Amino acid sequence: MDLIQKGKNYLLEDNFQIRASDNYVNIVSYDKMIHFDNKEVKIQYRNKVITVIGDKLVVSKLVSDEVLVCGMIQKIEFR
Amino acid sequence: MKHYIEVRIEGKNIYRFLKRLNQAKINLYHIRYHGINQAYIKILKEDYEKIQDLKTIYDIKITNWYGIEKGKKIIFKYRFFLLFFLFGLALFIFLSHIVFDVEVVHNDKKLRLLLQEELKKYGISKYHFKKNYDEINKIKKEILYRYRNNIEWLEIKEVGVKYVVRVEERIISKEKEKRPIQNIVSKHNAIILSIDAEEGEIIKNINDYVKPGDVIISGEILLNDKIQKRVSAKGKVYGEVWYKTTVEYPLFYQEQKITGKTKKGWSLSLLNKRIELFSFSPFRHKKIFSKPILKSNLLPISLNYERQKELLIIEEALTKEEALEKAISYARDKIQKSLLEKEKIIDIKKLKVDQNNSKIIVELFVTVYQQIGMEKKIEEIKKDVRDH
Repeated sequence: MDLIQKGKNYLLEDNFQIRASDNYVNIVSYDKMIHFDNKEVKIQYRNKVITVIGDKLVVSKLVSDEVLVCGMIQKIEFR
Repeated sequence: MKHYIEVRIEGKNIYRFLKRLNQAKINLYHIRYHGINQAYIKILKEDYEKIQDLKTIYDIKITNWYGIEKGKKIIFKYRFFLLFFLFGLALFIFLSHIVFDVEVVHNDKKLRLLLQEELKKYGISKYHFKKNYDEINKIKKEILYRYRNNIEWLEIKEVGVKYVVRVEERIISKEKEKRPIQNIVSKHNAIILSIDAEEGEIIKNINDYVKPGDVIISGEILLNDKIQKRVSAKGKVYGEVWYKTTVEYPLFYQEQKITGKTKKGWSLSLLNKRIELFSFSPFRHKKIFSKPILKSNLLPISLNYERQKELLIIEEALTKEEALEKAISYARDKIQKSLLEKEKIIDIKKLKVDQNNSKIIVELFVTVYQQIGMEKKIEEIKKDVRDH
């Protein structure tokens, strides 16, 4: 059962994920986009808020289950 | 299949609008920002209507298409260019498959015409479609087979939009003509002036008088009064021949000459009368070629279209001496025309001159340098002798 769930998660990517690099943050299976501008992007997942802080931030992709934030990323907060 | 488009959004707060789109569950697959008031977003084509509903104060415009849609848009944008290009291409392909000239390269006009006619039968002529390599080869073979006695070699080459046909004529050496055993005899009463024998034995001399049938060049070669060999005598014999001729010439002379000036016009025919219409400077004398344009079946009336040629009428009244001179000149011309190459008039003498009403009658004695030799088979001669 666990194996099936793992396979399903791998294929459909419905588990919450954050992939980060120097100049981008990719968040998968988020719940809500709370706010974004070029200094700060706030995303909600369940009762948690993920805040990406940086400079010249741009949301390059904003689809129902994925957000791609590019720019000079300084900090990612998960509260 | 999903169709994507790129939309330009322009407004006060782009971030807020993008958030609104996100809340409306519109996927933004790629976002490019141009300053703080403008962004380009890649969305599904079907979401465009939703964006239009949400836009409020924002300006939305489609700037790009992706996939098949983009192809369709490009085709639509350049439709006239594409149409003309395709038409031009089709026309070019069509014209490049048409033959605009067929050139047969050979000195002999007869052979050229023969080949052109023959190629025409196979469809190789002006303004016809070109043939492919196999067809050309087949045509070549068939022509070569049909004219195997006339044509040695044939090449049909395609040069641009024309066919160049090169041909080599087959020359079959003709068998040496078999000529009968014959003599050259005289056909007139004459004095021999020259003998040019190619074959045979000359048995008459220059200045000899000969009667018709006298052998001049013999086909029988004699040695000690015995026939050694029989050949076909060949040669040319010229002699002085005499003719008596009578010429009549009018003392009043009229001649009509066409000046070369022409005119077109209209005329009305009424019974035997002809009335020229719109003729402001008519020819004094003319030759008329008339064609009725309107004609009545009941009345003798017609409207005619005419072509007129101006005539110059020369009238001359001659004295007897002048008429005599012209008569001799006329006779000379007439005789001269009947003579062959190398033949000529030696002398013309008047024998008798009579005047009858408005003409003179001159009797002339003409001396002519003329070919007098004639081929005659030896059997025929012997038969003639037996008959006599």
